[in-house]
Amino acid sequence: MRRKEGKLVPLEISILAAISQLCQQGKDCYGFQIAKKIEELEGRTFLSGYGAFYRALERLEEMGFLSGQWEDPDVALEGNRPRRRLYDLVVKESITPVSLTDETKPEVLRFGTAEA
Amino acid sequence: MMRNLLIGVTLIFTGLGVKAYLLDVVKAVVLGWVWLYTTCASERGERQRLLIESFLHDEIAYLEDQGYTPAEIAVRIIGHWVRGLPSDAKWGLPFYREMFGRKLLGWSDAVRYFRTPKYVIPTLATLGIMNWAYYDSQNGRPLLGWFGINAVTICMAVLIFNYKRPLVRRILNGLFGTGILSMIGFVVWMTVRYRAYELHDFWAILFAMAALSPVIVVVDKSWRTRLFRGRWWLVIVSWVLIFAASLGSSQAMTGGVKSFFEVWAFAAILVVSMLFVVGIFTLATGALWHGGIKGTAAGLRLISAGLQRRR
Repeated sequence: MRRKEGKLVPLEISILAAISQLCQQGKDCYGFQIAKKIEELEGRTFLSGYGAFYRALERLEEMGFLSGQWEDPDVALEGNRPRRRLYDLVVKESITPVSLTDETKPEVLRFGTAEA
Repeated sequence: MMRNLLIGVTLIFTGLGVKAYLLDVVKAVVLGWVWLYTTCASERGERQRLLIESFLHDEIAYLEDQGYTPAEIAVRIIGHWVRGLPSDAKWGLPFYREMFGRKLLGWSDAVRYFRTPKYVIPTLATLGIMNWAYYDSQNGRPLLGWFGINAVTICMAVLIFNYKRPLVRRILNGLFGTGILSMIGFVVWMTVRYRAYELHDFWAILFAMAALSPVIVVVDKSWRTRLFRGRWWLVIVSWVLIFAASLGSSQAMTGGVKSFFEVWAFAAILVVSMLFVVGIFTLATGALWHGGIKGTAAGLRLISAGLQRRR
């Protein structure tokens, strides 16, 4: 999908909504957990490719919606699995960054913090 | 529709008796693809590889907990993978383009400063022409007789054009020394075997050959240093002595200077004609090669710039 400057694509909006819910539930926000949440929220199979999904997360980080940090290696070692990258919403109370246009705002608010 | 498709494919896989190891194969394929399209993206690529590996691990663990069979999990993973293929390729392509552009730039520099072919190619071209001339003169007989000469010429060309390298210089010095000693030995043998010392022209040719030694001395710095310790005037003195000795021997043996002039005229014509023929071809092929190198380097740089600008 061709991106318009300053606008979010549907996948990014879904990710923000999922992370918002996960944060409220006090759960860790990492790749697979977010994808699972999106499936749950949208009521259908997660339809993104792996790469596209993580690139959307990366863009959201770059745009300042999300902050991400790598999990403590010891925790991953204990779980005998690869390290996860944990995400958090930068503005938790109301997702209204400047770059969010009127067109995308209602979507995020519907899934995200405003509804909660 | 997608869901039905997934169920259908799952049933086919299950029906075919897909084993658990298929999951490992599928995982390897997906990670292999991820490596392929991210390998040129340095840090970002590395990050994506780690993230996707982690995702796959979590996904497989979760689905196994949920009681999915390996075939079902494999189908689901393949579904994700296939859906992402176009987007992944689109994302990875600019990195490949940039990497290729950088490589082209490197090749361009390598071509510009690639000394050996710059000199060896004209030598080979000249050798080729000489081979052809020989072949033509032999009415199509095989060139096996010239194989040794060709091989030695190529080896010598490679050595001479790399004479700045210390190892090559040592080899060349050794070869020059051995060559001179062999020549002296050969001449002595010929002289005794065929009683060449009875011929006046033999002595004149011998002097002419001896006259070549100052050329070697002038061309090769190490020999010059070794023999004359940098005193250039000794080279001139050597030549004067050689001419004087040649003239003296001609006068003493034939009672005139005719033999002297004949031999030196012959030597001069031989050298000049050789230089002319070989020189013309070497210069022509050298110019072509030089132009080719410059053109290729410039072309590679242009393509590289074009590729990198499109990024």
